[in-house]
Amino acid sequence: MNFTWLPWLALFGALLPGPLRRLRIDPALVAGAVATLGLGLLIRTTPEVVVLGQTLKSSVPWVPSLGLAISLRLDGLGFLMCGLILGIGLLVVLYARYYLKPEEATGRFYGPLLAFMGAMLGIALSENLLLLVVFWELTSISSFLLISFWQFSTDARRGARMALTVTGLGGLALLAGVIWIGQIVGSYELTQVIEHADVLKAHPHYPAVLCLVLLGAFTKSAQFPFHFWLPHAMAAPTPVSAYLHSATMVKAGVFLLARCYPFLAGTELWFYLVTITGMLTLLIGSFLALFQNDLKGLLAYSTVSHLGLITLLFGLDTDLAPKAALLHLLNHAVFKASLFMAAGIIDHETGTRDLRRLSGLFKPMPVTATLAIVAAASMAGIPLLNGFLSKEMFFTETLDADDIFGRSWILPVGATLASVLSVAYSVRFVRQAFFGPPATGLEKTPHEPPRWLRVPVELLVLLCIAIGVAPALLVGDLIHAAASACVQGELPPYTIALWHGFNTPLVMSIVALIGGILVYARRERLFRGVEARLSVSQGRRAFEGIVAALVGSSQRLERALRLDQVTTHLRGLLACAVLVSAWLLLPALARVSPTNTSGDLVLWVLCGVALFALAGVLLKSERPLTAIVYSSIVGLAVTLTFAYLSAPDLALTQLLVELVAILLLLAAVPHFGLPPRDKRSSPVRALDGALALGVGGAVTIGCWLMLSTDVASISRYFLEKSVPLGQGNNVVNVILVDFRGFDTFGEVTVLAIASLGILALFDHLAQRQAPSDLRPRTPLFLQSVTKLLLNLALLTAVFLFLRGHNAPGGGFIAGLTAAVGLVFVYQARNPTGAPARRPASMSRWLAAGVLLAALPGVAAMLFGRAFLTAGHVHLPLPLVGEVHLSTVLVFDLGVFVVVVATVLAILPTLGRLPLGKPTAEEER
Amino acid sequence: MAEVVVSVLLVLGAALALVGSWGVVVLPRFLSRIHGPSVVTTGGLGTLLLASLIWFWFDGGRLTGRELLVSFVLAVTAPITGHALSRAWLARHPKDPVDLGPGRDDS
Repeated sequence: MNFTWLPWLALFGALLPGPLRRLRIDPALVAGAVATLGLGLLIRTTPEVVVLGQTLKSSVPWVPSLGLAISLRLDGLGFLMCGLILGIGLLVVLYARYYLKPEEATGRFYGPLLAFMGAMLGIALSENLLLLVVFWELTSISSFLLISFWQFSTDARRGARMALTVTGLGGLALLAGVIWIGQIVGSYELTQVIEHADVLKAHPHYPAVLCLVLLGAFTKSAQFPFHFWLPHAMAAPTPVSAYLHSATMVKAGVFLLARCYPFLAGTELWFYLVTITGMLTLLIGSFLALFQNDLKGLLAYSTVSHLGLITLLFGLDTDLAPKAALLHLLNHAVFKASLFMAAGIIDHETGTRDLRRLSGLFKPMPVTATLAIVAAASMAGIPLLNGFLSKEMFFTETLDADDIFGRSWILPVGATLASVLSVAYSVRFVRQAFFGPPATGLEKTPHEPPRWLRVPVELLVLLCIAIGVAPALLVGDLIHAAASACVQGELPPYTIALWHGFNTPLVMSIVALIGGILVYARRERLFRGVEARLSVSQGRRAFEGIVAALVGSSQRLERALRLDQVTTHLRGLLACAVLVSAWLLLPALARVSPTNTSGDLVLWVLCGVALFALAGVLLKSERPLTAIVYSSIVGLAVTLTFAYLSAPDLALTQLLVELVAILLLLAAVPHFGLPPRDKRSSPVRALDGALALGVGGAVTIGCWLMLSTDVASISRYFLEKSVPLGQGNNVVNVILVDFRGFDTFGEVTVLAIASLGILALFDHLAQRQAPSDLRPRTPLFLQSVTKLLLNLALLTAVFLFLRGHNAPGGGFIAGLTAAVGLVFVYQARNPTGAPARRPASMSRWLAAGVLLAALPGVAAMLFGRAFLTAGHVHLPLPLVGEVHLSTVLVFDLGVFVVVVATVLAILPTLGRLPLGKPTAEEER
Repeated sequence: MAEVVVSVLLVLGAALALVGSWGVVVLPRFLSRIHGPSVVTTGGLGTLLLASLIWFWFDGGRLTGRELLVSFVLAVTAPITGHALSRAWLARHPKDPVDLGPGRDDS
């Protein structure tokens, strides 16, 4: 096992917590074990990657035609990121174990958490840019699941939606940019792209590529103007905020900037775009943080501003700027995660996160308060803590950087201003939460949290102090390796030290400290009136405004084109069908001389019966039950036609499908009520009539051409090869499960998915119960006889199933037979009462069916054959004789299960839904 | 010889089926009409199945229980179906359950 296992360990480990929870194993243990194992694997590579600065690589082809391969690389930069992901991940798992209540759906929490961890590790370790985008989107999805963990909260759902939309949009832009890079360079592998960096930077499309990639990075890292989703994501549980929104996911964007540094940075466009965005975000974030009343909101805006700081540093063109950026990436993750956890502890112990209600918490929880104060001091940039070091480096780099718009003071002044504000909000955080008179009116009496809830915070704060005091010893090598990997070259020597002499950056820090305290003290006077105008997030208003405008205009367009009616779509489809058929068939009609196709008398009679029944359906459409009876006559006529033409398989299938369809119609029709009057105007009716004639004509001409020309069809191939290749005498069945097995597999999957969708709809509707006193009784005879018939039906189903390969039968027919028998029993026993069991249990059967169908196909792959290659075996059984078994039997069994589950999912519930519209009571 | 028997049975069965179907169309009241299908299934189909049995026994060379199985199933289900239909009709028309006079002509 080496580092290449890291992403898969976490991704496949994500499948464990849910099922294990049902077995009473704590999912947190699983998550912790995965994180620890990952950390161990990572640390094993320290000598090569960190100390020696090497890069480890591995590659497995995936889709060679697209240039997509599972290529992984571990260099200093990846090591830094993975260390953060796994280390802080482990602490978050420990924290979440004691934060979440035991009865909460922890399986649904740790699963996506591990999936997220795996996806982040994938981003950090990707060598192939397309693979990186795949993992990028995975993080968006898993973060969506994590943010909306408390599904009952509107804020959580809205925050999750907003986050997904914004980061998803960025992901699309990133994909476009990456594909473009691949086109320009010729490969998606990072090593190749770095080699051709000059080509890329000189290319005329470079600005567009840069903008797309930056869009992806900026949306993920919540840079202005895409910063608004991060504060709304604070509706997530605090462990999620501590992990995703301080330490890892939002760092993915700046990590991308670091990864793209060798081949996208160094141009003036990069300098202006990235630096200015970073500067704006830095200032806006720290300004807004000062006015937040929510603890987590303050920390969220602070995160936004620190990310702006890191972005700004990546934008600068000095040699050491990347090093400063990476140092701050590490430091910020450490102190911000601990601050979030502390905020979570406060929330856990007091029941509120509102700074206006909290006060004087130092006395009841001194240890936690001290930890939080140290972390906040690191955030503000107090010496002897890690935040101070990266702030100092930040100031140094802004002083060394090029002029923006010809002025050299913009960057340093902006940096100092942002630090002033950062000190101000840190002081606010500490002062208002921990000092002052004891809080009154809290739901719970504050006290120290459980021991293990505090341990992660203790460890992180310890790290803050340790790095602050002895940086070169602890992280010097790591940051150097990471920065070298980032720039792919040599860096000027620089030791991260506590004291660099009394220079300008130190002065800036002192100014920031004093200024910050002053700003906090005078904040009411300075910012009179500002607070009121900041009440609702402008970003959210803009976002929701855009979404509402899009939805509104789409709906208006839909109504104008009448696209909300089914008839419009139907007319469109039929018109297309008529036009395409005319285009294809009419030329053929001219070329063909129709031969004599008189047909059998029997076929003419059957055709006449079908037409008569069709007329009945059309004329009797006001009485739905009568129309259904007539339509069943059409089905019977078709069945008899098949039987007459010696197609027993088709006849059986048609008969059974007809049966199920009639049952479905009978169950569904009472819900529709009387069909409405025909309100179409005469021209529209004429159009519909013309369309009907056109479709009928096209089908007639098509059939006539088929029957009158001598076409060499592929049926001859199937008839000849069915026994030698498929080893079955029933050609239809062999085609279904062997020759065209992949199609059948696709259809079975689609059927299962459609049934799952119907189940989801029913889940909502079936909760309306019919009043029990109106339940009619079915005759006792019916109930007994259906049980008897069920046995017969099941026996017949098994018989049809087993003989399907060599005689008419097969999985589909057998499934329908069994399903019909079961449905009869259901209906006879209890036609309108409450469903005996929730329809959702059928979803497990549907999944089992699809998996069964896939099983022999996948097993064939394990033996080195193509997917869905069939295997045969001849077994001599004692009494029965020699039995010929084939793996397609398992495939057919899968089809059987899916068919039965579909019918059982739909019919019994449909028959039991109470009629009529839901009352206002039930709507709620 | 078997052919004659089979032909007679076929015609007889078809005639019974025709009579039963005719009854369904012509008879005025539902409770009278319900007799029609039972004649068709038991009388008509039973005779046709007997014809099939004899044909395959003598001319096809095998004696199987398939036709008997079909007859059995029909004999079991046809009366139950009729019973259930009558019960359904009674549930829909509770006012005059049994009216032997000129009754309402509805389904």
